[in-house]
This record gives sequence, structure tokens and C-alpha cells, in this order.
Amino acid sequence: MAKKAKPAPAPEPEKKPATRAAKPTQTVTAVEMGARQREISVSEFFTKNRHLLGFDNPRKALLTCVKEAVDNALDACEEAGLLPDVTVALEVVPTGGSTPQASQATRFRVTVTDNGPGIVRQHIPRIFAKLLYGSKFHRLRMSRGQQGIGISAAGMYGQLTTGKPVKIISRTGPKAAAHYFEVQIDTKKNEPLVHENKQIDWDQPRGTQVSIEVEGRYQKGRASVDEYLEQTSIANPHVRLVYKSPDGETREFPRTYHELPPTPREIKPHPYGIEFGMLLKMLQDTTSHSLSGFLSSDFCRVTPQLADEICKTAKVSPNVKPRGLKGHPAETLYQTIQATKIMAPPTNCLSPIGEKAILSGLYKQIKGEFYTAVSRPPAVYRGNPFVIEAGLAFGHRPEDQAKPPQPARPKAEGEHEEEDSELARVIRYANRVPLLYQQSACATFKAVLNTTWKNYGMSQSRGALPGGPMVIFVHMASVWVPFTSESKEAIADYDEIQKEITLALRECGRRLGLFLRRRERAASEFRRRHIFELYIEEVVEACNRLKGGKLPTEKLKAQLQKIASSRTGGLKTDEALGKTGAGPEGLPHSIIVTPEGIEGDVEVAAAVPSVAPPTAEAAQIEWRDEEQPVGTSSKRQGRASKRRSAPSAKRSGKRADPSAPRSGATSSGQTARAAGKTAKSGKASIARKKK
Amino acid sequence: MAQTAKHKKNGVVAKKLVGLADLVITAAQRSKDPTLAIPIRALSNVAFNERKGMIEMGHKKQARSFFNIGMAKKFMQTILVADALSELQRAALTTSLREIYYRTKHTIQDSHENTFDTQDESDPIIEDLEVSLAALREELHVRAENGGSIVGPLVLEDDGDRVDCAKLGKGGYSVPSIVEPGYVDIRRCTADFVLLVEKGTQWNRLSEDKFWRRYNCVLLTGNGQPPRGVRRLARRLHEDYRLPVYVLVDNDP
Ligand SMILES: Nc1ncnc2c1ncn2[C@@H]1O[C@H](COP(=O)(O)OP(=O)(O)OP(=O)(O)O)[C@@H](O)[C@H]1O
Ligand SMILES: [Mg+2]
Repeated sequence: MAKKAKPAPAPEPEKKPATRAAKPTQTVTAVEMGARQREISVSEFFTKNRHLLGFDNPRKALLTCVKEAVDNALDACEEAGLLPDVTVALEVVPTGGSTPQASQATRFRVTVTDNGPGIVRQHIPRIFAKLLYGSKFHRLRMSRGQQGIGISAAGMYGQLTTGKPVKIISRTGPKAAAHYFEVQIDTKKNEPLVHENKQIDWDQPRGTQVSIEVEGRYQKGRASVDEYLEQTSIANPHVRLVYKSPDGETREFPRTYHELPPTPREIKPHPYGIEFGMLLKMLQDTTSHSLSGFLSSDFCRVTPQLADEICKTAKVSPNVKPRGLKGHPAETLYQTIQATKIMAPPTNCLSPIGEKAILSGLYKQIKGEFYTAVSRPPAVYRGNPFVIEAGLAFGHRPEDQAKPPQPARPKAEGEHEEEDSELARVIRYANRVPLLYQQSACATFKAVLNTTWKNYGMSQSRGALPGGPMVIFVHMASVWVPFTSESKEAIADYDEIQKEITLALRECGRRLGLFLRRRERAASEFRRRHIFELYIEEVVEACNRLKGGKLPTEKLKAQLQKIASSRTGGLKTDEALGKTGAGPEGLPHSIIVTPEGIEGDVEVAAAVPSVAPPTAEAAQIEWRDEEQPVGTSSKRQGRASKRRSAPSAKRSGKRADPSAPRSGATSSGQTARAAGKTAKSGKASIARKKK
Repeated sequence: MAQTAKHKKNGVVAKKLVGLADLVITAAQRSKDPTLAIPIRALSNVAFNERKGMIEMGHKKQARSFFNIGMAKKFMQTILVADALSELQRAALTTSLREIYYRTKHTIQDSHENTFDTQDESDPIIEDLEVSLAALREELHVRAENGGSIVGPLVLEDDGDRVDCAKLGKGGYSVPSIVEPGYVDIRRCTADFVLLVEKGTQWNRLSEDKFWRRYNCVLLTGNGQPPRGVRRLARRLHEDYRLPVYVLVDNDP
């Protein structure tokens, strides 16, 4: 959210503020005024307007520093084709001679280390101590960073609040030397000042480490560093994150998905996505000599034939020099382009997270019993391709005390505990980066509210989030994510985007509803079956006595149990939640957690290390049968019948001894006495009477 | 002779009870849901037979299936009661409704559920069996509580004892629940009519006053809602001796 102005042109937004400030005083002449005119460097501007970059308060500033460094690390690793391994360390910096507790501390050292490609020595000072310097601004491709401001702004904030330089270690490979830098920014000139530059020994063969000392505040909970890292881990299961918190704890977010996301391709702009002014600029800048050449080589999805066609419709020669096209003809050309049917932009510029990876991330970080994920096909807004992905984690995982306390204590759980009004939680992402602020302004949040969750078996009050233990995940991947403001905190509400989010959420909701209904049905079938099984015991014994104790009771029992099972959904009840491993029927890309284990996308779940093998749980959950009857597997039935056969043998010995037909009956008086004797068994039996 | 008839009948009833077990076994073998057909004992299934002068049960029946969650418990209860009744048959003993309830009530293994919770559950099951096996309660060896008295010019034979109801003072003879031929036989009756008095106190009054002698009638009461034995006896007197039956009630519904 850190960044500022997205179009952020060259360092010249200065005139406006200056003139406006000078205007009102009567005593100032135009000459005096002119004498005060001065250029403002971008660094000076952002020093004053640091809230634009996400440094408005100490708590948010700490988060922003972490975020900028981590985003860069992930971008760099992925671009270099390396599975990211990132360590984030927050240390309390002693102030006034003592080291306060993390919650009281006002100064922190943020150190982020990656295993990325490293940075070439010459670029280091400018990357870390010059605003608007970067490799990502001038291209149309999905990445986390865009502007070339992020990390240098963090450094500048540190410099401003603590006076300390940014310390960098970077190494481009095992054969290259590691370079150590200390840099500061000359805010007047927006140029780096190098304080220290030397080669050092570094135990890492490759990568970059940034260390910034900043004024900040550390507090867990909403929009904290912890939450940011947790959410990052959910959307980036291919990343291994180690977090050393200021409390001195180390927490690892393991890698659960061992493939890098496909590298997004860079694309040329799509004709629908540009404004008229932009077209004019492109006409000036192009290297093509003909208009049709310009159209087909500077845009995507414009073939030479289509370019000729556009020229013909716009009544301009395809051979005209692009630079010569101005005024009215240019405007006609622009309108013609917008009116021409052009194929949607290619989508290989996007790298959506993918359903499997989302599932994996949600499963790893959130304790639930049902997970699902949906990736929508690519869509386009204003010529920009984008993909919406949504996911759900629902419910409480059947707790198993046998498991050792997990090192990574999932957020969702803690969150639920703090809030007694259990409303769903929405976690939002843009290009895999968690959005932690301005939720209510975000298109994703609005789409969640506008979805009728009641249709899917959830409660929802008017205009509110659905109720219940649920985490809703929404991700927008695009070459250009339209943020509502420069601070990159909320996604703008374009109709196309809103529609895609809604479709994705509906599909998630539909699957959740299916899961809930099936679970309910399986549960009630199981309850029924349980009742039948109890009664079968009684009926079989009574029949045996009626038949003079000569009945093959086990056979009759088995036959009746078979009927009971088939009358209660039979195998369907057993399999209502699917045991096939390919996902329960009708529930693609879903994981279901039952007391007995995981179902659905089992491979994905199995990759997550924190899950105890299902067998370890089986013994624990016997008592749960009645409450958690989902997926009554053959395993369960085996157990159940075993459990039952022992007592029934005992009982048949007690009650119906075939060798001594208890055919006796007595007058009621005798019976009453007999009843007294056997009352402990809860039933009065009729004493035998000799004839 | 009556004795043999009684025994023969018993054999039939005992067979019918065992037949219920066979029904379950056969259905299980065929993977069918064991189902009993029970005549409906509701107003909708009774009609007055003018010719016989009786209210008769119609032919409407209700299925009671084991594997129907709404009926499963009743089905199980029915089999349990049949088992208990079958034991009575084999032992040639009679017992009370309450005894049957205690006999069949127990906690179902592996649960906190009782087979029966109150006698209100077991009593209707016995009635169900009566009607579906076409057996009288007496034939099932279940007796209702003795709850009636009779006095008047009539001689009965009960378990070989001669009972002259004209010589039993003001207390009269206590009507047993089973008054079928073989249990209670009417040896002689010289009354002109039967007066069935609803209230016990009223009957006491009339008995003390020897009303029956003055009007040559049989005085009968069931102490309120008349139990089965009283009703059966009234009917037998009406049918076997063609006595009109008058009823003294307060008609308070
Ligand atoms: N850890 C790193 N490893 C390799 N290159 C890096 C690393 N951090 C930053 N860079 C390079 O430095 C450039 C500037 O980073 P900076 O964070 O300032 O801007 P950005 O990431 O391009 O955009 P944004 O302002 O949106 O973050 C990046 O474009 C990237 O090329
Ligand atoms: Mg960046």
C-alpha cells in the first residue's frame, strides 16, 4: 500500500503547490513571488507527504518497511526463477540506554534477507537511495512492485526518523563477492549518498539483505506485520518465510507448494486500454515508419490486416508517417480503434496463483474443515487483462489434542477468538500482495457484501458480511491493478472487475453450500443408521427368543444392517464427502477435513507438513461419532461393529442362554420379586417356574 | 372341553407370535424392509354392523416398517412385546399390562435410550398385536385390572368354583378381566335385564338397597370407564341370555 502517485511522472510536480501557496498575500509582488519559485525534488515532496507512501503512523510505517522489502525480495526471486526463501527480522533498537519491550519500543531494525539474484554493485545506491528508480515501471507485466519508489522510500523514512543509513548486503552468485553498502538519500537532489562500500564475507551464496532502522510501533492483530506475513504466505505458498518477531520468537511459514508461478510475459498495451493523449504520445515515440506498422507492432492483438482495416475505416493512409498524424485525423483514428472489434489481450502476462496453490495456502494457514478455490478465466477492463481468484476456508477443524502445538499458530483462529461476533473475514490481494487497509472501499469487499450468502447456507444480515467461521480470499492479478488511491490499499470498482469477483465468489459459495448440505444429509443419514443399528440388536435378540434361541443371530443381524445401510444412503452416505482423492463429486478444487482425515485435493493438503497423519487421529475421535458423522467410511463401520460385538456377546450370555430356555413366567407377585433381584439390569425378568 | 378349546386357541396365538419373528427373518433374507400390517384402530376405520348389532373394525391397515425412522422404534417395541407375550404362552400364565411394560422395558445397549419410557407406549402395542393377530387380549394372556362388580340372580363358574351372585352380600362378585368361556362360565341366569351402572358409588347404593331383587335384574358396574371384563360380561349376558342392557350414566362427556 505504500507507494504514492501511480503515474508519478518526472520529478516536476512542483509548480502547483508553490504558486498556490504564494497567491493570497497582498504585500507580495509578482517579482518577489517569482524570486521564491523553486524546484521541489521528489524526495522533498514525499518527505512532507509521507502518508502517501504508507508512513502515516509508526505502526503502519513499520509494516510498510517490511512490506516493501518483502515484495521486492519476492519479485526478484520469481523473476530470476528461484523459489523464494525470505527471512524477516524485527529487532527492538535500544533507546536512551535501555531495551524496552517490543510493545513499548519506538525504534526497530527491519532486516529482510532473500535468496534472490542479488543486485549489481553499481545499482545498489540508486535502488536504495533514489526515489523513482526501478526496473518495473516501464513495462506491462504483472509484478508486486511497479513504481520504483518502495524500498528507497522506506530508507528515506528511516533516515528521517532515526538518522541512520540503509545497510545493504548483496551478492549475485557464489563466485561473486558480497558487497556491503551504507547509503542515505540526499533529499534535495534525490540522489544517493554512499557512506560505506566494501566487500565482505557473507555466508549466503547469493541474495540481498536490506536493513533499515526506523521509528515504529509493534502491535499484533489487524494490519500488523504478523498478519501481512501470514496473508503473504497464504497467497504465496511457494515461498518459505521465516519471521523473527521483536518478541524474540521465530516463526516459520513453510513452503507448501514447490513450483514457481509461471513467469508472466511482458505485453504491449492493448488498444482498448489507452487514452487519446497516450495514443498521441505513442505516435510521436514510435520507431515505425508507417501508421499500419505502428498499430501492428506497438499494440498487442493488432495484426497487419487489422491495422490496414482500421486505417481504411478511419480514412487515413496506412502508409502515413505516424509522427505526422495529429488533430482531427488522429482523433478519428482513436475513435475507430475503440470501435473496432479487437481480440482480448493475451493473458500470459498474468500469473494467477492457481486453485491448487490457493488451496494449499489456505489449508496451511487457516484451520477449517472445508476449503475451496476458484480461478476465473482472464477478463479485461479498459484493455488491461486481469484474473480474479477467490477461495474459502470454512469451519473449525476437528481439534485433536494429540498434535503438538504448532509452531505456526494460524491467524484465523486467533482472530475468531478475539471476536465473539463471528463474521467472515475477507482477505484481499492484488498481484499476490495482501491489502490490509481500506477494506470497505475495495471492490472485493463490496462484492462479498453483494453476494447472497444465504443461498449457500450461511447467515447474513443486510449489508453485512456473512456470519460464521469463514475466511474469504479474493485475489486480483493484473498488469495494472486499478487502485482507488495512490496508497494501493483498495481496488477500484470497475464493473468488469466487480462482475468477475462476484462470479468467483458465487462459485465458491455454491460449493460451500453443497458441502454444507451434503454434510447435513450425511449426518442425518448417519444418525438414522445409528438408530437402526441400536434397534437391530433388540429386534434380533427378541426374534431369537421367539424362535426358541435357535436363530443364527449374527447372520440376521448382518442382513438387517445391510438393509439399514442401504436405506440410509448406503455408500452414498459413506462417500458423500468423497474418498476418491479427485475431490468429492461436484466439488472440484476443494479440501474437506473430517475427524478421519482429509478429502478432496488430498495431494495439496498432504504437502502441508503440519497435518498429522489421519491414522493418528482415528483413535482419538471415537467419541465424536455422533457429532461428526460425516464420511462414515468402511473403516468406521469396522470399528463400530467391533465395538458392538463384544458387549452383545456378553449380553446374550446373560439374557438368553439357549441351553436353559427361560420360558418361565410366574404370577405377578413372583415376578415383582424377581424384578427386584434383577433390577440392576434395568429390566424385570420373569423368573422360571418348574412345572 | 372348554379347557381344550382354550389350549388349542393358545397354540394358534403362540404360532402367530412366532410368525412375527419369521416375518423379520424372511424379509431380512430378501433384503426387504420388515413390515407389519396393523389394522387401524381409529374412528375412521370402524363401522356399525347393523346385522350383527356391533361396531366392527374396518379393513384399513397401517404399515409399520422397521426401516422407517418414524416407525422403527415402534416396530422394535412390537417385536419385544411379541417376545414377552410368547413367553406367557409357553408358560401358560397370564399377566397384567403393567407387567408387560416392566418385562420389556430396558436400556438399549450402547445408548441412553430405553425401549419403553412409559406404559403408555407399551399398552397400545399390545392392542396393536391383538388386532393384527386377531387375538383377544385374554388369548394373549394379558389381563386388565379387576375393576368391576356384579350382583344379581346369576350363577357363575370361575376356576371350578360355583359363584352365586345372589349370595354375595352387598359387595357382589368382583369381575375378572378375563371372562371368556373356559375362564368364567355362566351357569344360570334368571334376570330380566342388565343394569350397567357407571358410577361405583351409585352401584353400591343400589346394591345395598337390593334393587336387583326388586326388579329382578343384574347389577353391574365398571367403576367409571368399564374395564374389558365388565364389558365382555355385559355382552355375553346380552348375547347368550338375550337380556336387554340398560345403562345408568350421567351422560357427562
Ligand atoms: N531484493 C532485491 N533483489 C534484487 N533486485 C531488487 C531487490 N529490491 C529491489 N530490487 C530492484 O530495485 C528496483 C527498485 O525497487 P523499489 O522497491 O524501489 O521499486 P519497485 O519494486 O520497482 O516498485 P515499487 O515502488 O512499486 O515497490 C526494483 O525494480 C528491482 O529491480
Ligand atoms: Mg518494490
